Amino acid sequence: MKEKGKQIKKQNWNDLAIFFILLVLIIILAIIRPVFLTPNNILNIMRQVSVVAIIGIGMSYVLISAEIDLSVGSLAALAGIAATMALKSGMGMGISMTIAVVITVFCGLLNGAIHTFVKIPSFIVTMGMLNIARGIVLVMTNSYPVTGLPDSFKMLGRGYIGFVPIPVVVMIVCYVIGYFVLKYTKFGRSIYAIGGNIEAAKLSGIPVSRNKVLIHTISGLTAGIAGVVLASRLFSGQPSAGNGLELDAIAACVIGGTSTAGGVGRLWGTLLGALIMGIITNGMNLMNISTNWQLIIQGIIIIVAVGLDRIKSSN
Amino acid sequence: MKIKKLTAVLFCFIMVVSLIGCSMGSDEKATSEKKKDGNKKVIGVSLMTLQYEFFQDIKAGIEEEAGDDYEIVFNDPNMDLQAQIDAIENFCAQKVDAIILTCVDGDGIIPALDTCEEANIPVITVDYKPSGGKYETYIGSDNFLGGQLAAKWAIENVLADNENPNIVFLSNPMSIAAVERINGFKDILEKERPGAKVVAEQGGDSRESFMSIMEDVLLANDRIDLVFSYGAQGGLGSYDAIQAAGREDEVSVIGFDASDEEQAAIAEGGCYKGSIMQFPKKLAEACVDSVTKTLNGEKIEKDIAVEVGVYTADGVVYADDLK
Repeated sequence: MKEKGKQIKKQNWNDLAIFFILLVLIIILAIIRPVFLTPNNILNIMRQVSVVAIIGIGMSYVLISAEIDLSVGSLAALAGIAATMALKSGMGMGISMTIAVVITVFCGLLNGAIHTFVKIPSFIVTMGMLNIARGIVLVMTNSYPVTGLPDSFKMLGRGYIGFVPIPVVVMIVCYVIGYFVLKYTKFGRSIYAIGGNIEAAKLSGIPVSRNKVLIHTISGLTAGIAGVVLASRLFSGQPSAGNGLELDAIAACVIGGTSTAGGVGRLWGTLLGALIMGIITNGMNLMNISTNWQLIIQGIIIIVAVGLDRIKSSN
Repeated sequence: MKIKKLTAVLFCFIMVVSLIGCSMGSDEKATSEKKKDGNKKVIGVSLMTLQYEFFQDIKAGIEEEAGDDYEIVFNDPNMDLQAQIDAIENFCAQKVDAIILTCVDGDGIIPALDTCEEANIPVITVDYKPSGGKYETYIGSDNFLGGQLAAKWAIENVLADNENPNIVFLSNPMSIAAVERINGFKDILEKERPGAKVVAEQGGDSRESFMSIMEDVLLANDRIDLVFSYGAQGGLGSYDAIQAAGREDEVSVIGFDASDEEQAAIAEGGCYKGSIMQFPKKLAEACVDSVTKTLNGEKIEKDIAVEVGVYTADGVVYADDLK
């Protein structure tokens, strides 16, 4: 009983650390540049982080299960190209987007299946998929962007529902579903068990192989959704889109308290992690700090945030 | 068990496919050697990357210009210096007759140029000038001059009487060419419009990152008159952001590259006013022409400048058309 109380306290302390970082950032930026706290800018930041945040959902699942998915950036590009090419060939909006997402879901499934059944580490499989997907994109487009799309395609990336940008709405919907699945379903709980101790998970009757495939499939799904949103935001299919997105997504997860060793993680932490990164970039842009310095500061924040988390949890 | 068998079959299939791929490759090589026997000269071409339209266009231009006169062997190092050095060493080993090169890095490529010198193979460099080593000529549309041209045109046609314009620069810190373009623009701006204020100068590497940057810059500044971007990605990304913010009447965009997408945006007649146009086809023509002259033992100039222009809604404007 006492042990449990201590655990809850520890959990709270961890959660507070990330809120603390976020709060300090917001206060500093609001003082230096008042425009930072305007509703317009806050919605702007949320729209900017939506792509990384959506990918972060699948990435959290994968990381919690003690695996990794490096292919998400390329898969996002693949989804964008597939959707825009389908649109251009005259297919409807719904069908085009569905095709795009189905393709990345299939790639995710393939990642999971090869990893699980051929027993190749997910790091290797998804690194292969990273190259394959990017290669397919370049072959399909011959490096030329896909343009000349119907105006209605802009809606998803640039439209609003009320005053909320649609990408933000998509992001919130994805997070609500993702949170529910992770927290309240058998499958969701099993992800923690697999990441925590895979042998124990097997022994306790969890269908580990099936669930691992499913986890990678979900990562493909979120990459696909994010890729379509990104393409719509850019109103074109860019062959170079999503380069390095996988690292941003991993950064969002680890800032949010997800352990790369598996077994530990929380979805809302990933959302906060993505927001922290977005706020830093946005704040420094508002202050006209050179991008070169932004990279350095971002790197420091990643290490500090994760470092704080580790110190607290080892106490 | 079943799965193991399945994977075994799959692997076999992959191996067979890749074997076929390899054998097709060696077929090509065989034919190229045959043609070489037929006194057809071989040019090895290594461009920085084939991921960008610009280099795709150069590649197409070289193929077209070479026609039946030369056998072309392409290599795509994809921005990887080591891969490019390997490719050049392979060219030397294959004893190609000449090499056309856009280096990934001006300093790093020098050892490879030394290898070419030892092998006595002439090198024509294009678009990116190596900082040392031996090469026959450098063919390029000067980036600094391109930036200057953009500034001259912008002052005449966009800023007009505005003596205190607010300017935004979008650059790519990873590319020396980008920095030179921006510096060229600044050079003219400082002379002709000393009242100009640079409200933001930011770097990025993709359309989405530039869009985000521009969204932030638009929020931070009530008045922006002009955005100058080092390339198409920055121009189009900022154009996206300006459109989304509904500030097209206030902000003008000038890009660089005049890619197809930019040309379409400029044709819309909105705030995308112009883009510096290089002529990859002309660069390619000059490359093949230089190869021919070098192989014939003619002397060629050390620096060959290929003209740039401004692509606008009213057609292409050349440097001579401006004061």
